[in-house]
Amino acid sequence: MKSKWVTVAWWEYITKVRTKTFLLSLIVTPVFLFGLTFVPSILATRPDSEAHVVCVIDRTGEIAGPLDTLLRSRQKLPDGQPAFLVRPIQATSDTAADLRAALDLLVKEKIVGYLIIPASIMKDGKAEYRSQNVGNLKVLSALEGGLKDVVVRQRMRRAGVDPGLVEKLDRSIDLTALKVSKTGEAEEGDFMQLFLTSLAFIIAMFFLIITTGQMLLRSTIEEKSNRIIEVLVSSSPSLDLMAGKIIGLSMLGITQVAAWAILGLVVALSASVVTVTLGQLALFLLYFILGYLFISALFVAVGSVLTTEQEAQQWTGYLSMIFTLPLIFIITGVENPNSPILRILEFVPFFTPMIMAQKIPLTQIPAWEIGATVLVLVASVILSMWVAGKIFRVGILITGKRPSFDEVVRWFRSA
Amino acid sequence: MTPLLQAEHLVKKFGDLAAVDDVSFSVDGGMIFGLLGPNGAGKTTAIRMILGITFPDSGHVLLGGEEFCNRHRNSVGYLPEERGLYRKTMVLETVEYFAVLRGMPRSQARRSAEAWLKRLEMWGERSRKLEELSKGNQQKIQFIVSVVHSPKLVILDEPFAGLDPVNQSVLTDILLELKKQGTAVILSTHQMDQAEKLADPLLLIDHGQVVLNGPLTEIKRQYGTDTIRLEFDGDGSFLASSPSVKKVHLYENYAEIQLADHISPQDILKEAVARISVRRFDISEPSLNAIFLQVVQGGGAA
Repeated sequence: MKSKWVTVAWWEYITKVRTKTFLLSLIVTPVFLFGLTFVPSILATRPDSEAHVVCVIDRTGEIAGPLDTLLRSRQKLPDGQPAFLVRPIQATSDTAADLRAALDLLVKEKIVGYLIIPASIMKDGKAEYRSQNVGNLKVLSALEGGLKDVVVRQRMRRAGVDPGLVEKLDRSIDLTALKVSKTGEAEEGDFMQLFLTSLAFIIAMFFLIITTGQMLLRSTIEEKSNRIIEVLVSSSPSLDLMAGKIIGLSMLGITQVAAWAILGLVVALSASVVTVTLGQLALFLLYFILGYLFISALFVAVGSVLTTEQEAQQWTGYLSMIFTLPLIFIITGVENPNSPILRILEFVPFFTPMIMAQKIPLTQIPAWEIGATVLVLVASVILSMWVAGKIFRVGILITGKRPSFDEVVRWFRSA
Repeated sequence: MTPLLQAEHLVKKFGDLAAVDDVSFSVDGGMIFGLLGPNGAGKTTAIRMILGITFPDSGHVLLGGEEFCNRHRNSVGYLPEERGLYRKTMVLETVEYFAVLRGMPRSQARRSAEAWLKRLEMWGERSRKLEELSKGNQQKIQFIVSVVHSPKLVILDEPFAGLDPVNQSVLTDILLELKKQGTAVILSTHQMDQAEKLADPLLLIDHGQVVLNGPLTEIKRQYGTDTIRLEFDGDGSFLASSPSVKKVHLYENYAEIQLADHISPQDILKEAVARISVRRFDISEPSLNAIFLQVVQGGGAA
C-alpha cells in the first residue's frame, strides 16, 4: 500500500504551488531582493553629473590653491570636467564676517558646503566642513582625502623635502583582494562583490522564512478551523499527515528557491556583480533544505496549538525573529567570517542555515565544519519532526481556548 | 458471525468529567444505527473514538472482530457535524483527494467521484471552488467525501442539517440504498422524526451513559402505548393542570398526553370536548421524540 504521506505531500504541494500568492512571491521577492541589494550600490557608485562647488576659508593662505588643483585632477565627472570646484573666500581678520559670507552662499545654494581651514592645520591637522548635508560620504571622503594629501605635502615641503620627490613618493596604491582556498588557488574578489553575494544569500533565506512561515501556519490553522482535520485524522495516521505536510510545503519552498537561484544566477552571471560557484550554490541549497525542514516542523507544531489567524500572525513574527536573528552578525560575518562568535552560533540549529548561508561565499569553510553543522541540523530536523508529530496529534483537535504551556507538555507525554 | 463494529466498554475522560462512560454497542452491515442524545451527551466523543481520531482511556473498538488500527481507516467514512472543506480547491479534485487518502487507487477514485457527483447533481459544479458553492451544496460535497471510497462503515453526524426538503429526501433515498447494499451506517442526530423513520436499532446516550439501547419497536413497547395525540383549536393550557393528565407535551394546536392512573381515554376526551374543539384524537405508541424527552428530562430509564 502506498504510504499516505506521499498523497498528502502531493496535495499540499499542488494546491499551493498554483495559487496567486505563490506565483506572486516567485516574482515579487526576487525583484525586492534585487532592489535591496543592487540598487543602493548602483546608486552609490553612479557618478554625479554636476560639479560640486565648495567654498574654502583658508587662514593659512597656502592650502586652497593646491587643494583646487588636486581635486580638479583627481575627481572627474563622466564628461571629463572636474567634479569639484574650490572657491576660496578671502579670509579677512573678521572671522564672523567670513562665516557670514560663506553661509550666505550656502543658503543661496550656490555651494554644497564650506571648508574652514584654521591656521593651526599644519600642526594639529584639524579642519571643519559645514554643509546642509553632511551625510554625503562621497563628498566628505573626497575632501578629506584631498585635504590630507595637500597638508602632508606642505608639511614635507616645510621640512625641506624636494617637491618632485614628494610627488613621486605620494603615488596612490591600488589594493586587489584575492580569496585563497586551501589548495592555493586564488580568485579575485572585491569586498563589495563578496558583501553583495553574502547579502543576497541571507536575504533569500530571510524572505523564505518570512513568506512561507506564514503559509505553513495558515495551512495548519485552516484545516483546524474548518474542521477538515477530523476527516483527515480519521483517514490517515497523524504522522503521515504531518510528514506529508512538512515535506509538501518544503518542496514548495525548494521550488521557490530553485526558481530564484536560476533567475539570480542568470542575472548575477550576466552582470558579474555577484560571484558564486556551483559548489557554493549546492552547499547553500543543502543548508536551505535542511533549514527549511526544521523550520517547517516547528511552524506546524506551533500551528497545531494555535486556533486563530491573528495568533498565527503573531507567532509567525516570533518564530521568524528567532530564525532571522543572525542578521545582526551580518557585518561581523563579512569582516571576519571565521570569528569565534559565528563559529559557536552556527551550531545552534535555529541559526545554522542563516549563518552558513552567509559564510559560504565569504570564506572556505573547512569540511569538518560543514559535516558537523549538517549533522546538527539533520538531528534537529528529526527531533523536531518527532516532537511536532506528538503535539500535532493532540493539538489539532483543540479549537477553543489556546492551551497553556503545561497542557502542551501533558499532551506531549500522553500522545 | 462477528458484527462489523463492536464498541466495548468505551470510557473517555476529560479531567474529572467522563464524556463517555462505559458505552458498549455493536453495529452490523445493512443497518442504519441511530445514535441519539442531547447536546453534550458524548455522541461526538464516542464517534471520534470509533474513528480513531481519539483513543479511549479504556475499552475497545473492534472492526470485523479486530482491534482498530491504521489499516481500518480505509474502510470507514465520516461526515462530522461541524462541516468544513478546503475553500480554495475545486470540487472534483477535493473529492478525489479524500478518496485516494482513504486508499482508493487514483483511477478508481476518479470514477467513483464522478458517479457520486452526478448522483447528487453536482457534476456541473465540478470545476468550481468550494467556497463558491451554496451552503447546501457544500454539505452535499461533504457527504460525498464520506462515502466516495465505498466504506463498510459510514458515520454521519447530523447529515440532514442545512438541507432543503428536496435534498433531505434525496439523502434519505441514498441512506436506504447504502443499507440495502450492506453498508453499516451510524446516524447521529437530534432530529427524532428522521431517526424514527430511518434508524433501527437505536442507542440513546445521556451524560456519557447508555440510557436506551435496542430495536425501535422494543423501545416503544417498553414505554407503553398510553400516549394520546390530540389536535385541537382553542386554548389547550388546561391540560397541563388537569388531574387526569400525568404528563403532557403541549404545542400550539397539538398535545401528546400520558394519562394519570385509572383515567380512561374517554374521560380525557370528555374533558377536552367541553373546553376545546377537538379535530383529531388517537391513542398510540409514544413518538421517539416523547420518549427522548421523557428519558432525558426524567433522569434515566423508567
